[in-house]
Amino acid sequence: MPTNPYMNWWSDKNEQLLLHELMTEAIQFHGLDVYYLPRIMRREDSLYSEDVLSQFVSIFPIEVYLKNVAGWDGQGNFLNKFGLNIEHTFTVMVSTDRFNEIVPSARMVGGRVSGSSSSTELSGIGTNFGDALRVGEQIMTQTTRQIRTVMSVANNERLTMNAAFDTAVVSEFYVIVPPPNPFPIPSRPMEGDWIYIPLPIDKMFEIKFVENEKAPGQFYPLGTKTFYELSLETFTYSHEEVRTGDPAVDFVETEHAYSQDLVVSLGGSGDYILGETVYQGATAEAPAATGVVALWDANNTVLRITDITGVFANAIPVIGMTSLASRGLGVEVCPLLIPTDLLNDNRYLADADDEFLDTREGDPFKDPFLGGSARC
Amino acid sequence: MLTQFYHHLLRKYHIAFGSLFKQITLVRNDTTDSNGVEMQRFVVPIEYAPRETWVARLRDDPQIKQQFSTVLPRLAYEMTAMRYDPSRRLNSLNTRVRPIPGDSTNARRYFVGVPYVLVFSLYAITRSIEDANQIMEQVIPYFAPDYTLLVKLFPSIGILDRMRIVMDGNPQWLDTWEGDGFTKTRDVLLTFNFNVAATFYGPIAGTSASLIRKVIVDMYDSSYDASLTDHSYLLTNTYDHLLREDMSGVLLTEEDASSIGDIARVVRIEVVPDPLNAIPVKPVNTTTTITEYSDGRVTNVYVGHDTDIGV
Repeated sequence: MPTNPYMNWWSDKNEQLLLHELMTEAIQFHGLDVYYLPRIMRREDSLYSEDVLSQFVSIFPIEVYLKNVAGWDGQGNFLNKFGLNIEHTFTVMVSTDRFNEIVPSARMVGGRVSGSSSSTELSGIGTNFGDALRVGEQIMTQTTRQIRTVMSVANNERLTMNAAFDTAVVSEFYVIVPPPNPFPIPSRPMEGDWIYIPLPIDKMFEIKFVENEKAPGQFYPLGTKTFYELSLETFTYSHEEVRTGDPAVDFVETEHAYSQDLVVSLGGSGDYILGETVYQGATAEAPAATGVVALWDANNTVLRITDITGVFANAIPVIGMTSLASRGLGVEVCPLLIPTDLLNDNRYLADADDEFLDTREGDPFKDPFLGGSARC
Repeated sequence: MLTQFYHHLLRKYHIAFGSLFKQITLVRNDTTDSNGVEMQRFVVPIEYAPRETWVARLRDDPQIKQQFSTVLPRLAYEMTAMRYDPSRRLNSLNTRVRPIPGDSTNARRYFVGVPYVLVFSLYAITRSIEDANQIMEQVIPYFAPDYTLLVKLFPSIGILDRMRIVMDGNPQWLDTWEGDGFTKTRDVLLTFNFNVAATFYGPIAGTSASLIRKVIVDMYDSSYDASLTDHSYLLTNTYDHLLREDMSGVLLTEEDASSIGDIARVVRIEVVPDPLNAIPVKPVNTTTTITEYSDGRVTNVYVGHDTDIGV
């Protein structure tokens, strides 16, 4: 027996729009402004279904409604073998309309590309552009953050851009810049994305689950879904790259990622720029070591870098790709000294065992990365 | 028993064990195979797991504003138990002598140590299987199933011990992906268990021992050789009787020394250090002198010099 054609509880567009607007308005009245950080996967592992090179380069302010009113759920603060854990969980509601409006669905990321500073061409490094890019789309290089428009795809491995690059593009990933689409493709919050709740809460969370049917009031009222319910947990950082350009969020990487302090006291000049890539080596195209500037203390000539590749060697200039600052590394780097991790014992162990480990029969700590010795 | 002493041995064993893993380094490439370009390289932090709660709080979150749960990957280790190791037991009355640096006349003497097995656990926690794989592959090849460190437990004295570290059983792999994956962060926890051969020593400092600076060996040529070279025979301090004792010092026989009156040394070998006041640190040069005798004397073990036995 068909439903009563005079009673329309499931598909009345006007009623649905009203409900959506009421929900959006209610969240805006009682909610909280947060920042949404979509995750970009740079190396999805099809075997293990994980990505160890995830990246967060864009940030979207959006309002949410906190369902917890009496405090956090979860275990709270607890101590385990690995130190202090703060495990807060809670639930927020976000309007489906507002999410579609604010957070674009385009979160594609390409492979690595390279190009010189005098050319409009980009070469893919192990990257087959294939159908990923179309003429007219804009891409942004992720380290030097240069935005160019794709003029042609010469073949699957070469692109021509609308203008030459300001600085050389050296093995950088690119992202597709979301176009201002008047008809945005519906997007949804995704598990694994991050949400930063600013002061006074001042915490970063990871979306563990997006509920779109089961929450109270969520089961298709008037035949539509007006909000997502997000289960959040304080995030566990694993050296993901966080470069949104907003220091309120980028602190995650600059203050907590593995880092090294380079004492660049051996001549040279120039001031490094936060967020720029620095390198050692004959050319920027083939660097021996790279890092990203997290802190530059010009008075003490100490350069803190994260996202390190290779090994920085003593007495070799450290060159900034953007600033072109060039200063010689004056003190041998100790990779066991991690200035952004106050809890570790790596450096202490290296110093303490000097006294009583006898290496005459062979040093168990010789390692090419450490220059043949861990005595630092 | 009541003498105060503390050699910091447990602390040294804790440091030596942790040191093995202080530079485990992860490299993340842009591809999952070995042909990728390096994108990140970092040393995995390690710490001794047990700690005061308040110290952890002050070090981890001094401003009470920690904005996240934790940072992974991490390593931690702890000593979970210790037990006596009878398989390495030595006679507890045995002593060892070590030179005192710069002192050519005295040395330190100490009883052999008491063997113990220290049970350690090493834990690794990562956010991904890939990171866990790298840590696993940097640990297990060194333990087949043992790895031995040479440690100077008393650097100022020069006591060297071999610290044998044996991986006990199989590493444990716990991946929390199932069940609570939508409410709790998944992580991979690796646990390695080790048995570490340790030795503990009693008081050493302040104990001096005279050094042996001359070794004399008399050689005989008679039917009584056995009486004079077997350690169970002794000549009395009045050199008129020959005693034979068992290993515990119980007298077995006593004979008139006249029974050995017809023997005497025929060759004496003397070994002394060169120079005579050499500091007893290896290698020590020695001078050996071999002298033939027909003087009818023997060396009295009690009075320490030659004695005419009237041959």
